[in-house]
Amino acid sequence: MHSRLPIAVAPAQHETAASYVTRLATLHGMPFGELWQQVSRPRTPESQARFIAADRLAAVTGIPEEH
Amino acid sequence: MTPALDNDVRDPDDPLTTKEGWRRFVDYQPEPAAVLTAEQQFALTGRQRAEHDEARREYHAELPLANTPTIRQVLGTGRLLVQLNRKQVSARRGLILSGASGTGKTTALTQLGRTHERAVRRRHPAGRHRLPVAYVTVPPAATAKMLAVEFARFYGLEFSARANMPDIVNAVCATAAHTGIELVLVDEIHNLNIATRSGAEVSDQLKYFAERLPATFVYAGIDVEDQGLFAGVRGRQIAGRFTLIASTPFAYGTSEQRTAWRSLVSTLETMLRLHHHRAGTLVSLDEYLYRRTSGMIGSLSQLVRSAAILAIEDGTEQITRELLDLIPVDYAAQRATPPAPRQRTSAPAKTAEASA
Repeated sequence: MHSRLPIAVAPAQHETAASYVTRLATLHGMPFGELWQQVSRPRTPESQARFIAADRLAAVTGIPEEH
Repeated sequence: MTPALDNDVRDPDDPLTTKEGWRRFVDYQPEPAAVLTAEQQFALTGRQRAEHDEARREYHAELPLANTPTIRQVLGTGRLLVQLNRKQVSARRGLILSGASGTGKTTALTQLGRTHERAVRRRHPAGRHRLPVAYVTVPPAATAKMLAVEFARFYGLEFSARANMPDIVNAVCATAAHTGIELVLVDEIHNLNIATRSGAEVSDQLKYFAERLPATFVYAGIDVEDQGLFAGVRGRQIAGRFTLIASTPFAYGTSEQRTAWRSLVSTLETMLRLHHHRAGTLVSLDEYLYRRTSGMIGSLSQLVRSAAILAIEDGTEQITRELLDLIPVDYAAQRATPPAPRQRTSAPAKTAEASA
C-alpha cells in the first residue's frame, strides 16, 4: 500500500497526468522521478517505459480514480 | 469535486509515527463505559451482557490518562516555547524530557502534541491540510538518512532506495512548511549517541531540521543527560538551547509527596467502571500500590488496568488487594520495589521520611 501525500489537490479539468504529477511533486518538494515511480507501472514486466496507474495515483492522492 | 477519501479508511494499524496514526490519536476521545444498576444488568440478554463486558474491558485496557505533575509541566513549558519561537527565525528554544523508563515520558510528549494540535484546529477550523505537529522516533543505531526517512514516513513521502539525502530533506522541509508545522516531537532520543560518528551526524541532521523548520523541537529519552547528549561542542549547543524537564517516579517521603501519589491513585480509581468496586479501596491501598510500582506511573497504570480487566472476567467486579497480588508488574518496578515501610509510630513525619 502506498502512503498518502498530505496535501491533496485535485487535478484541474483536462490536466494531463504528467502535469498533475509534476504539480504534486513540486508541492511536496519531491523530485518528479520519485513520485512518478510511485504512481506508474511498467507496460510489461520487462518494459522500461512506465504509464500512469490510476489506482496508484488515487492511493497516493486520496482522490478517487474517476477524477 | 469529490472530497478526498477520509483518512479513517486507512489501515487502522498506522503507527503514531505516521500522519494517519497521529491524526487518529489526536481525534480519539474515549467515552467512559456505562455502569449499569443491578436491575439493568438483570435485564440484559446473554449477548448484551457479553457486549457490555467487552466494551468495559476495552475501556479499561486504555484507561484515560491522569494529569500528572510532569504532564502539566511539559504542557505549560512546551506551549510557552511554541509561543516564544513563533516569530524567531533561528536559534529557537526547545525542550528535553528525560527520565527512567516507565515514568511517562512518551505520554507527556504525545499529550503536549495532542493538546497543541487540538488548539491549532480550534484556531484554524478550515485548515484541511494543516499538520501542526510531527512525531518521530530515533531508530536504534540511526544514521542521518534513517532519521530523514523517519520524518518523510511521517508525512507519507515515499522514496526509492536510490534517493539521496538532500532530496529527502528538501521534501520533508517543503511539506512541513506547506502544512504549517509548529511542533516537532522526537522520541527515543537516547538512541542517539553523539560520541559516535553516525550519532554525531544524526545530531547534526536534527539541528539542520531545527534550523530549516519553523517549529519548536521537543525531545524525549531515557536519562539523556547520562547518555552524553550534552557532551562536547554539539552537546554544549544543545544544552544552551534546550530546557530539561526530568520525568521522575512519584516519591512517597513527605506528606505532600504522599498526597500527590494518593491523588493520582484516586484519579485512576474514579475512572473505573466496575459494578461492585467500592470507591476509596485503591486510595486505602496507596502505600501497597507505591511499593508494587515504585512510584512509576506506567507500572501503576498497568497494574490497575490489568486488575480491572480481571475483575470483569472473573465476575467479582471489584479490585482488591488479593486481586492486585496476582498481577505481575514490569521488571524495573519489581527490581526497584522498596521494602515495606515500618509501622508508623508516634513520630509520623520522621518515619515517613525514613521510608522515602
